[in-house]
Amino acid sequence: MEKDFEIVDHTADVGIIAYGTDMNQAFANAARALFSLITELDDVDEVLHRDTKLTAPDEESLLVEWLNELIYLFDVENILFKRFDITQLNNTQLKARSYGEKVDSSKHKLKIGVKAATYHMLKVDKGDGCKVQVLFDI
Amino acid sequence: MPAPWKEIVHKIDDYRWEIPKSYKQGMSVPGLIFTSESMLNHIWEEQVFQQVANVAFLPGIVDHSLAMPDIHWGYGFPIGGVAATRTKDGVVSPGGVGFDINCGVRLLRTNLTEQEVRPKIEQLINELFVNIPSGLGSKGKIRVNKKELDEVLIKGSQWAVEKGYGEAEDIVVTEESGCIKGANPGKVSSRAKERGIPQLGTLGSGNHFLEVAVVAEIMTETQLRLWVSMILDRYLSGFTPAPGALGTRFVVII
Repeated sequence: MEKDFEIVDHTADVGIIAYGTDMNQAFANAARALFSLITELDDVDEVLHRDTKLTAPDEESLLVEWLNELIYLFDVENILFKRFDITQLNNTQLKARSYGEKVDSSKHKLKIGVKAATYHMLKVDKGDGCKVQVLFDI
Repeated sequence: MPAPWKEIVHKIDDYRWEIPKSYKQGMSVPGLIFTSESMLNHIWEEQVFQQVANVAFLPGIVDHSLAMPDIHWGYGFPIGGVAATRTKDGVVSPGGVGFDINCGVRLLRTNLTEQEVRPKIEQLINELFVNIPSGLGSKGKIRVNKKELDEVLIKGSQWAVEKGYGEAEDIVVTEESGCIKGANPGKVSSRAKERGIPQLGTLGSGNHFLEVAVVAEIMTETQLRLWVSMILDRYLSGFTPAPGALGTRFVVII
């Protein structure tokens, strides 16, 4: 896999396309793409982690729920995540451990605020390698 | 070569264009775009016809999926999209209500003159930055718990005035007196409240900004109203002015 993710510009929003050899990796890369929009991932250290367990009706919804859960943790606990370990993923369930640290204004430059992952132009593609696309409301 | 939209839309008159139900299988009603012919070329490039047609699928939609002249690409609904749905069997679409619910604009008038302000514009801007938290991750000076937040949700601007953050006169010139009656904070999820609490008393982030401007010319009352509503429209269209230099218009872009 040449790249983990890419950023897609949209009229008033921003989207990401994330890749992976399997869906677990694509979901993890989508989360990294999300935090790369918010800050420079290189500046973030792994000092704490949060466990996430989610259920959703299908894989697309699961992806949106997953990213929105991380946005919620950022908004409420001010945690920047950089590494994601998806331990379980099927069509309706996800379990993950995310590593990162709290925002430290002397260390982290915050770039853009992401309000939510949306269902607009949402894609989960299990072709030759996995690919997911999400558009964020910023 | 004729513009591609000419094969799709029916001209009703110079400013009304209909997208027939046959455009996309599943549309319950036709689409109706209020715009001019020259603007249609631009609208077509933005592919918002698709979004107007998609709205026509909504259960319970009445009459037409409408699009106002400011139509552009949104989430599900186009920006500038309007639809009515029946209360009996219709749906409420978050895309139609708008994701930035109650995103608004306030105009505060001072009695200061340009001569007084201009020499001190830097100090003024610095002071505004200190006192009005803005940008991503900023936290307001106002600290409330969830119970107090419920009061904010019920009372609206009245709450702020009671706490000394505003004047009673402010409420008189705010629509709905700064409070929509019948609000039920119980309908707001606990998580939404957790996300909202730190933002209270901040300017917000993203395309929210504050500008200090000079009234250069006082026109008739009607024109003044027009001006204010044009500003509103500009903000609502997501337009962000270029970073202004110091002077009569200082634009703070977050």
